[in-house]
Amino acid sequence: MSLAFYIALAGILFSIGAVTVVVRKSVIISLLGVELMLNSASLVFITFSRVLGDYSGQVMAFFVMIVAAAEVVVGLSIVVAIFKSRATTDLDQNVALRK
Amino acid sequence: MSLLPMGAWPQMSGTGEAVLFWIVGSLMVCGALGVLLFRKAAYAVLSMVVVMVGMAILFFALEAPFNASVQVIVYTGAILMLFLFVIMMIGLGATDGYLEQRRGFIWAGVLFGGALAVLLVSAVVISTVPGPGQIADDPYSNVPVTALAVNLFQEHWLTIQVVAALLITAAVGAVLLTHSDNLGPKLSQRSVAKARMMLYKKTGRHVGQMPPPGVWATGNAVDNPAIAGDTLEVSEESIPRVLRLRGLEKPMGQVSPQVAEALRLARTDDRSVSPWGGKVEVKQSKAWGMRGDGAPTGMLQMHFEDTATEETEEAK
Repeated sequence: MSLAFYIALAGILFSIGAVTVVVRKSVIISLLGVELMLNSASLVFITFSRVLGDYSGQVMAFFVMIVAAAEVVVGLSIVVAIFKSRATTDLDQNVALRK
Repeated sequence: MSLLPMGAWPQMSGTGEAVLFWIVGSLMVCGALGVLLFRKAAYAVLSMVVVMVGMAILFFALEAPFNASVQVIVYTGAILMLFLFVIMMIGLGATDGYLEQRRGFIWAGVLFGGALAVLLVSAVVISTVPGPGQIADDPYSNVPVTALAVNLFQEHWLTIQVVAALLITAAVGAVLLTHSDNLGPKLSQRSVAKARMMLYKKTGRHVGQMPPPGVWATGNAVDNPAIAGDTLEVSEESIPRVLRLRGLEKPMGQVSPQVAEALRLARTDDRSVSPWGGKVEVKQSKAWGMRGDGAPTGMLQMHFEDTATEETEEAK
C-alpha cells in the first residue's frame, strides 16, 4: 500500500468537514467542520513530511494547529457574544444584515 | 483501480501499518460522519474527539511523534474541551434541526462534498510523488523531536514571534468579545437605602427588600415568580430583572397550574385589599393564605378543589 492512502483519507475528511460547514445550522457545529478541514490539512502536511523525508511539513502542521487554536478562541467567543445578545446560535436566524 | 492510471508513491512500511491505517482510518471517517449527522452538539463534539485521537495515532505512524502528542494535548485536551464548555454555557439541550431546511440546500451541500471528495481522491490516485518515504532519523531516538525543534527555531524563528503575537491577540480578543458591560450604574448599599427611603416618602412604597423568587412544591428556580399577598397577582419584582428583560420568566400557569387557578378564583372575590398601598390600617397580615383578621378562606392547603368548594359556598 502506498502512502497516497493517507492523502486520500485527508481528502475524504476535508470533504466531510466542508459539507458540515455548509449543511449544519448551528454555529458551533459549523466551527467543528472547519476544525475537521484544518486537521485534514495537517494530515496532508505530515504525510508529505514523511514522503519527502523532510521536517518542514511537520513544522507547517504545527503552525496550522496554532492558528486553529487562535481561530477557535475568537470564534467561540463570538458565538458566546451572539448568544448573549440574540439567545440563539442558529446561522439561519442571525440575518440582521439582510433586514 | 486498474482503470485509472495509478501514480507511484512511496510504500507504507509493511502490513502492520496498512492494518493500522484501515482500522484507524475507518474509525475516523465514522467520527467525521458523526460530526456531520448528530443533531446534538455535544455528541458531535464527542465524535470529533474520535477523529482527533485517530489523527494522533496516524501522526505516530507517519513518524511525527511530537505532532501526535501535541494533537492529543492541544486539540483533544484544549480545543474540544473549549467547545464543550461553550456548549454547556449556551445550553446542552440545544439541538440542531438541520433537516428542517430546504431539501435542495442539503442535496446541494452533499453533492458538493461528494464531488470534492471524488476530485481530491482521484487527483491523489493518478499523481506521482517520488521520495524516500521515510524520515532518515531513527524513530526510536530523540532525534525526530530535536531535529524538529532545530528546524522550528532556526528556520522559522520569525514565524514563532508572529504566532506569539497572534496568540496574545486572540486571548485579548476573547476577553474583549465576551466582556459584558454593566446594565446600570453600580449601586452601593448607602445609595440603595437612600433611594428606597426617598421612594417611600414620595409614594409610600414599602422600604423592605425586593420579594425573592417563589418557592413552590414543583420548583424553586429563580425564574419561578412569587405571589404578592396584597394584590393576589404574580409579583413581577420577584423575578430577577435580567430574566424579565429577556422574557425568560415562567408564567404562573407553567410553574404550578393549581396555584394559578386558585389565584384566579380568589381574585374574583373582592378580598384583595392592599395592606400598605390602601388606606386600611394593618394589625395582622391579611395576605393570602395567612392567619389574621379577616383571613382569606380555604388556603391552608392549596388545592383547586378546596378553593372551588369555598368559592361555591360563598356564592350560595
